[in-house]
Amino acid sequence: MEDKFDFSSFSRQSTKGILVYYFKILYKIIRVSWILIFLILSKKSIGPFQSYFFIVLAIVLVYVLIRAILTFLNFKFKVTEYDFVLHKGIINKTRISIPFDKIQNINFKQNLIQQVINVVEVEVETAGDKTVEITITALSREKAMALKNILLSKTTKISAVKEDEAAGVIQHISLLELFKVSMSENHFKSLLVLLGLGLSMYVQLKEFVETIDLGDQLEVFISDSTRAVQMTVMLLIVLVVFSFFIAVVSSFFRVLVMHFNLTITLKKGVLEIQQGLFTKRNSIIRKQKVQQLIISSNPLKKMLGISNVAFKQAISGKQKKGTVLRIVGTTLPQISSLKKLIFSDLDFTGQEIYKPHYYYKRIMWTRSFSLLLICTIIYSFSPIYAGWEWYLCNAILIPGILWMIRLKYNKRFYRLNKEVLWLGKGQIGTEDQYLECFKIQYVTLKQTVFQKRYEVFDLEIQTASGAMEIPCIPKNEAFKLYDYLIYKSQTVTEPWM
Amino acid sequence: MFKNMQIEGDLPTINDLNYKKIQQSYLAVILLNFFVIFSVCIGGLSIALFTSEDPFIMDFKWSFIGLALLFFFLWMIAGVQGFYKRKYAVRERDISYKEGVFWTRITTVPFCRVQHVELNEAPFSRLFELATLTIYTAGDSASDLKIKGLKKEEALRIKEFITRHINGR
Repeated sequence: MEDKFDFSSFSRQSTKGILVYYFKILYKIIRVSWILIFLILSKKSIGPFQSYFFIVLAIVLVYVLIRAILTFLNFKFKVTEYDFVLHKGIINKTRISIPFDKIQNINFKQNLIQQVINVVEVEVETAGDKTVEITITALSREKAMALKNILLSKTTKISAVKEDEAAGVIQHISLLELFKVSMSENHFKSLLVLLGLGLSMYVQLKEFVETIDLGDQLEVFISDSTRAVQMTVMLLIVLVVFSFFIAVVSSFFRVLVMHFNLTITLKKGVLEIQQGLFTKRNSIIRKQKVQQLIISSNPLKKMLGISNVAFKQAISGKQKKGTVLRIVGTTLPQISSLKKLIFSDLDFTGQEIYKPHYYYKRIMWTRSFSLLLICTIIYSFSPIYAGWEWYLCNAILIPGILWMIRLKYNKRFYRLNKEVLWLGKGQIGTEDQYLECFKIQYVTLKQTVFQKRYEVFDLEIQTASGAMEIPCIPKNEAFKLYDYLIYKSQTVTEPWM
Repeated sequence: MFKNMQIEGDLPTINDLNYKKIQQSYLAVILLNFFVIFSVCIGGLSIALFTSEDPFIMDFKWSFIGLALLFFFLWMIAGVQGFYKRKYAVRERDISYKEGVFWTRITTVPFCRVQHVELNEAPFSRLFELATLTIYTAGDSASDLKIKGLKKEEALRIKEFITRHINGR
């Protein structure tokens, strides 16, 4: 297959790439100026501006086309004996060459346009202090595969996961299963995200809309409806049900868009994950690069026997925070086979389950009840005071808080075998984090004055994909764990990414 | 190469490390920095208060200044106390730093995870030939290890030591 394509001399992308660039640039322009466009279009009497507007539009479209063509023409790449060479840039010319052993991963991606015109985007991930991200926007699938193969064959370093595992599909998700997953998602969270999005859009719009008359009407409409909400409890209930419905629908679409047709395959020791509706993502998981494995579930998901899994991977350089790759609807046997691929030793039998010190519960009680007390006092002396009946709310609130704290305390633990640290946490949902001990970057012990009296410490473990914290560990235990983690990082010779 | 490191036995522990204090002259830098901020803030506040026509502010201007002074006094005490808590220790394969009065932190960075080391000299510190050593890892960059108030030669020595370790691996 490799013979079909000659990579030793410079080659351009597929000509269809111009189209992809065109839409990419257009999208970028629209994203920064959508408010302006909205404003111009919302004016009823455009009058003399109207003809003007279309001229500007035409100029912009032509500019985008020229820019897309130039970007395409100036993008060239080749594979030499030692490295991968790439030239790009219209005015700012960039020449990148990457030695093969710096290449870490090659991922494929397809957004909607790329799917329609049948080209793939190739992402080359590299290692090193100063990361250059390399994206080839449009290649035909065959050429992309050939490029991947030639690069992978020259890269000795890529040894994704353990070799001796059997090949085949580990997980494939059907639409029905995806539906189950989305129904059992945390709808409260989706609602909050939606609310935040709506609010930020409203605030952003408000500033611009204020100048035109529409603003006042909108304002009146919104304040009217809030007053109405205050008046009738009925409306409130309707609103709650409605927003719950919206939340469920939005989680469904979120899951569908992100994880449509999720397939995990193990080929020649390489774990490959493919998913996405509009943007098809094809990514490779390398054992070495995975810093943390996080498995989260909730009571509903537990009933269905599924969990969400996140692979937290290190990104070299300081550009981005580590990348997180999420998959959903993974069953228990699938999880255990994934775990086996990533971690060498996951036998925790006979290992102690360490719980946080009793102080952890105590500080949560103190915090929440002092907050409640302050709120109650402020309420009592504030103008919105509406009679003692409101205090009855506390009768529900206090047991609720106690119960939540109890749950949080009970779900917190950590376990350690020789290689892997396992953190458990959660409240209503559960989360298990796994971390290979030697993959720490550095460790910090923290102690407040109050913790000093009880001789407990919080341990913060920094990895290349974010920090994890173990709260309120008794002194001796804390120092032992601290020393052990440092010891592991210094003695294990395996690279951490 | 790696001496007395046995899992079954005792690991070397940071609990009984011999921590070194940072340079005494750094206290002067802390105080200098403090007084610059102090004089700017108090000066600005006084101008604002004494030129104000608001009757409420005119009645209470001395209380405002008193409050500000108290705040700065407490801040200074905390700063001075904090100075005495800043200690560091270099071992063969890692560097540790501890700080904090009310919130104490001990951080250890193994040399094998260091990406690069940086040496900075702020204006006041240069006056006393002091330097700041910052150690970068791939972890969260906001809380990378930063030791202020080292003697410049000492900081250079540590930097050399770590760099040698990085290049040797």
